[in-house]
Amino acid sequence: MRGHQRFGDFDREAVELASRLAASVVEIRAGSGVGAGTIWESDGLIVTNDHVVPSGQVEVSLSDGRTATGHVVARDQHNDLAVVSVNLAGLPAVNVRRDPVRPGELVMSIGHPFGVRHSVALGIVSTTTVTVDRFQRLLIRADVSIGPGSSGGPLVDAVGRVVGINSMMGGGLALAVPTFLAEGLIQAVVARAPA
Amino acid sequence: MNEQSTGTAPGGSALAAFSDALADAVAQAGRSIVRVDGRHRQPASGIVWSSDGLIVTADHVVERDDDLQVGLPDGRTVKARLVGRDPSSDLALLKAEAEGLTPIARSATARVGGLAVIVGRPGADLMASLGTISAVSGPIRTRRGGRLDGLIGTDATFYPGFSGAPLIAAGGDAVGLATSRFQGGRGNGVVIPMAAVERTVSALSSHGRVRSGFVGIGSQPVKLPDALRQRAGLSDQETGLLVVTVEAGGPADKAGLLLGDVILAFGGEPVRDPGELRDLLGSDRVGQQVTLRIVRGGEPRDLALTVGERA
Repeated sequence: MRGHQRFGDFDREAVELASRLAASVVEIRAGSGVGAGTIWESDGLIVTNDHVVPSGQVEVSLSDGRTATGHVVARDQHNDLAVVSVNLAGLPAVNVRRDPVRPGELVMSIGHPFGVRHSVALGIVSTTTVTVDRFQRLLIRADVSIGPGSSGGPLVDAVGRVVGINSMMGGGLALAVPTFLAEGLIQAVVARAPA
Repeated sequence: MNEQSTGTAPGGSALAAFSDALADAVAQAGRSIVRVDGRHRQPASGIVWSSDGLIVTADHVVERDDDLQVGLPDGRTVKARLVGRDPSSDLALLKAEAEGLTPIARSATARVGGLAVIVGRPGADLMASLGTISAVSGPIRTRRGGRLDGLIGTDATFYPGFSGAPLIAAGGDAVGLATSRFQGGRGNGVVIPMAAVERTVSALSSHGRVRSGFVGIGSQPVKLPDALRQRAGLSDQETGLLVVTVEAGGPADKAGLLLGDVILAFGGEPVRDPGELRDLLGSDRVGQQVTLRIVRGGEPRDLALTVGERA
């Protein structure tokens, strides 16, 4: 295959990935603050950062223009995670990756940095363990640029599976909470939900 | 978990194939990348040069000559000693107390526009950043570093502790060594090309040092009077070097330099402090005749000086 054809495939796949993922990334407004959220379950469970949803009730905007009131149904303050529930069904949920990531893997972030909706950035996994506030906390560091408004959006691998939730910045670059921590919180919510 | 295949997707996805290749390249290079504990704060990175423990790193991260340690890819931490250092090119060679290490694959080919990753080990784990090779420059003279054979610029992020880490090109080979000491664009560091690293390592391993020029004076910076600066056309230069000792029979003595002379420029380059003069005394200067611009008795004048070699 010619080099520029491979470059073309690469480009087309990246564009497809970005547009497919945008449907699963919501905007969350809580007072004057704006963040992102990642649709985890098609029946209305959204994962975001704890710091994005300081109050219990938020406004959620989908990429198709729909809006809904969301309620915070679970928090994990240590890992800066929260689950927001909206009363909508048939939402485009993300695929989740359970295998650990490796440094060097390609990753894409989607969020609303500086209010620019569904902004995409491409980079690689830099490392999976970072020291924050002098204690070892499991975070994925990636050399993708994010900004205020990216928080709560997904960091996905080369085939679009979520590997982390963008949570903070280090030098303008992403620090993401690994997916398994969000999975744990979601499972707790699902377990206590009435049948 | 199969280390070689996480993240792969069916259907020959170009993104997934690229992602896997990159992660494989990082893992492969990582077998030859060590942590270097040679300063108080943030540890830095180093490259395994030989299986018997030679480690190349950046000179500025080796702040002490003793009590050095190296964190190996297998997780062990071993003692290391300093074999030699070359501040002018910011390279240092260590010998770790270890055998059976995996030397890094090296290449002198760096193509502008090519993709490259910096892979460091600032702690226990590998850390990587992706960028392009933005520029490959010819020989340059850095403000603090004397003469360098050339530099590679990259837009890959220089994380703390990346000094001493290799830049790995798309082929999987290390094409240079990253350092934050010489600043590139964006506040980034730069990469010392592998050919220059090879030359310096060869000099350090055989002599423990790199040849450098010698003038044979002791000096200190002095403020230049405004009237003198105007007369000598030195609008940008506020200080010169006051000569406080002259070694008998040394190059400066032979050139006729006297105690109390103030050096303004060396070979046409302004010298504002002793560091700047030292930086101008790279190995290429040894044996060269240069013009020394000085002030004696308030009057600027030129002396011809033949640079010696530092013993």
